[in-house]
Amino acid sequence: MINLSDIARYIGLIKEKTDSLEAGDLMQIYEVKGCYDKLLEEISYYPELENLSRFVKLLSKLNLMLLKSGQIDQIKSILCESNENLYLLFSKKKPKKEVAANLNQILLRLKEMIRTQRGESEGIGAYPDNYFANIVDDKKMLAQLSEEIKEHLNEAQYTLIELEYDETNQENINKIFRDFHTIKGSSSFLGVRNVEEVAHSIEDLLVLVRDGKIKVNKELIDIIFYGIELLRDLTLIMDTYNYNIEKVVESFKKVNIFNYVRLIGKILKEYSERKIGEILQEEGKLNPAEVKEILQRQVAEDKKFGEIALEKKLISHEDLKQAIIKQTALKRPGLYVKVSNERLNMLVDIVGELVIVQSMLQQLLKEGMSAMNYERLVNQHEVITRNIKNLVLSMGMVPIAEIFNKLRVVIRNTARELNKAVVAEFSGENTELDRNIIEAIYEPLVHIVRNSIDHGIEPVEERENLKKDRIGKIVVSAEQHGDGIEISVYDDGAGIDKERIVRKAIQMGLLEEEKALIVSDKEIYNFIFMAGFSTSQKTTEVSGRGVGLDVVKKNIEKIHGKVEIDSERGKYTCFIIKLPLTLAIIEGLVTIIGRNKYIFPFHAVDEIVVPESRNIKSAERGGLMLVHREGFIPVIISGKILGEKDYESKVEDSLLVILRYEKQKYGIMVDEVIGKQEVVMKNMGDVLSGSSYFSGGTIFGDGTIGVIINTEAFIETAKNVS
Amino acid sequence: MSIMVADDSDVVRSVVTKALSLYGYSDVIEASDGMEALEKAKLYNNKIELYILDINMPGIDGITLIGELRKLNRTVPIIMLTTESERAKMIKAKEFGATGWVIKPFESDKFIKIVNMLIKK
Repeated sequence: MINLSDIARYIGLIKEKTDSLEAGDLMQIYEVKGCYDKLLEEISYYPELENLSRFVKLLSKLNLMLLKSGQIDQIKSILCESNENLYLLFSKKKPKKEVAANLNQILLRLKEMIRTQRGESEGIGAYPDNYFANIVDDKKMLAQLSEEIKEHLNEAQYTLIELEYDETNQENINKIFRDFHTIKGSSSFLGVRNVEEVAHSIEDLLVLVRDGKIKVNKELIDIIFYGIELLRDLTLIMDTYNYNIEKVVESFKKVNIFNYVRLIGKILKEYSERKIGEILQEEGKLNPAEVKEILQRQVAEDKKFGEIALEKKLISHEDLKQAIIKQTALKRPGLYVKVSNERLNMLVDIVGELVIVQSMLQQLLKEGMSAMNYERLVNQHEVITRNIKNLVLSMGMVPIAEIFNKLRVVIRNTARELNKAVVAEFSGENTELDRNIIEAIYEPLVHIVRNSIDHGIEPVEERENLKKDRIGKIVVSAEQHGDGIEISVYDDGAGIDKERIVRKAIQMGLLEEEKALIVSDKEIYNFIFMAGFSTSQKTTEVSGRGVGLDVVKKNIEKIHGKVEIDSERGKYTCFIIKLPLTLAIIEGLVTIIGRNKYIFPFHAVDEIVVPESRNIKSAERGGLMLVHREGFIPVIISGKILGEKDYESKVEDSLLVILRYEKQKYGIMVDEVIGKQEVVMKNMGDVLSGSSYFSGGTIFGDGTIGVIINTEAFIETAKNVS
Repeated sequence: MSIMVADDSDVVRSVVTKALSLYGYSDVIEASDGMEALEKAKLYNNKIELYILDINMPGIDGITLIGELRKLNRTVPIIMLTTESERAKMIKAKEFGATGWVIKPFESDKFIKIVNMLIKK
């Protein structure tokens, strides 16, 4: 089942390249790293090899140490042994158990070495004598504990990765909290105090997160990850020494947990809400005796600390207010917007211009102004204001990559939950969308990808039987299409069983039996989006959470979007979400036709051709053709279609913008090409909404306006005209 | 702390120096032949945390230079710049105490990462 030849090849390569690295060819470090990465990728297709991939990651890290460490011989021997054992593991020349035990031993040594490298071995004697006195000497129970801890750590880790991409998910925070809570409880029960203490620290940290006192950020997640690794090391020790108390404790003592516990303690102190009394005392408004007195009264009367202090006239209202502000200052999470460097620089530039205009105005006021100067400055000011407006609007745009990254994690975790092998592919990450649309579209997309993995992608064995690639594929793509953005989720799974849907629809009274034969595919797929419609024989935890695709549809419609399904039984299913462009930035080719500026979506433009009269031929049915690279391209006299007044340009005097539409090329006659530009697309309201071949308008920096062409509609119209 | 770059080719030297300064290593001591390199090494011995040496240089060649430098400092990392065809010399350089070699031409970001790894404390 596992593709041995590839894995063996990479291990072989790693050995080879490590040798030449060691010989002195420094650049080989990248080659070795590349091989480890490939090996990891290979391993990652097999969920059951997860522990191994962690091991390989460590090896890859260790490899980097070869260059600077003083322990080169040790590192070399570990790498060598590891490679040997990895090879044995996959070649099945030795029993798996034996090799696994070897690998565990190596892993322990490896960890110890990394710890010494980091200088963490100091303070090893920090364990008090009776620290481990209460460990229960029961191999079976310790084995159970180790299993349980590992299970919870895995769970916590997956959830943590999800949290990294969606830090506001309260449910996930609670989940992780429960994991560490359980670990703490069970280990304290068996007297494994080091595990208990670490888990306890992390639990405390998570309380702060849960209560919103600390925002989830990369550093915090790293700290928790570090704790997870630490706990994993401890379980590894238990496993490796086969729960033999003396050996386990001896090895436990080599792992310093106190630095970690102290680190968390420091964070806790920094972020915990301080008592009003403490703050007032720190500020010198109260002395310790007064604080004590108030606290005593607080026990007797059911009043707040501040109230009593005020009654006793020990502090003023202002003092209390300041103290409360200080107390709450730590808690308030801020809302941020990410802005690209480029746009920020543009803003700084524009503001610079504004400052200049401002100072010129002041100068003029002093010296008395001429009407001409005044007018010039006002015009300049107007342009600047408009630029700022456009720029600020564009700051609300974000690339869809943001949610693609989150989806990547969702796909990985869901596949793991369901034990399915899935690779995810993404395209169009740079498509920009209004921030509000991005936020609204995330939940529906999560639901759809989960649905695709759960109902679409078949289990590995089934795929093998069907002679399909054993690894399922999910492709998420975003693309600007006509006058909207299209996001699609494709899976190469089982497809949709139309018959079953028809049966179910009849059963539910949504469809009359006689009509069953004539309903279109589209209508059939539409049933899936109805409330209470689920054809899945069993509800799974993943997509059977009581939220159906009807909610997906509703949420998409809320932002004026549409969702459609395309599918072929046994081959694929594709969900297509079409979103409007209320506000989007597109790359456009700005041209002049007649008296106006027209913008063509840049992705549709193939090239620009300067036509020569000998290359222009009349077509049989009227109209003109351009002979270009041994082919004929129909020429569209755009000025006529766009209704430019008195439009009389000749082909010979114009330029041809070659557009690609449905695999066919068209030459659009334009008078002038200004260039490629990013434009903020705006709805044009009622005025031009009658002309379907415009998808929007834009205002340029110099104040002129331009119209954005909807390629599809424009060419269709042109075809009808000719 | 500084880095010494010794190479008789002005081009190579300036490319390396530029790459180094781009990534924050602005204190570079340059030498255009082995003799100059050795003199400067003696002068700034305690200040230099990495040597980047061309394997072929007029006067004192790279390999001889390694031997001399090792007399001054036994642990400082020494990277040799070589070309594909000089494999035998590379092995010799390693015997004389070079940390390793990098084959020209190279991508500067990769090269810098190696520099980072070698001199990070």
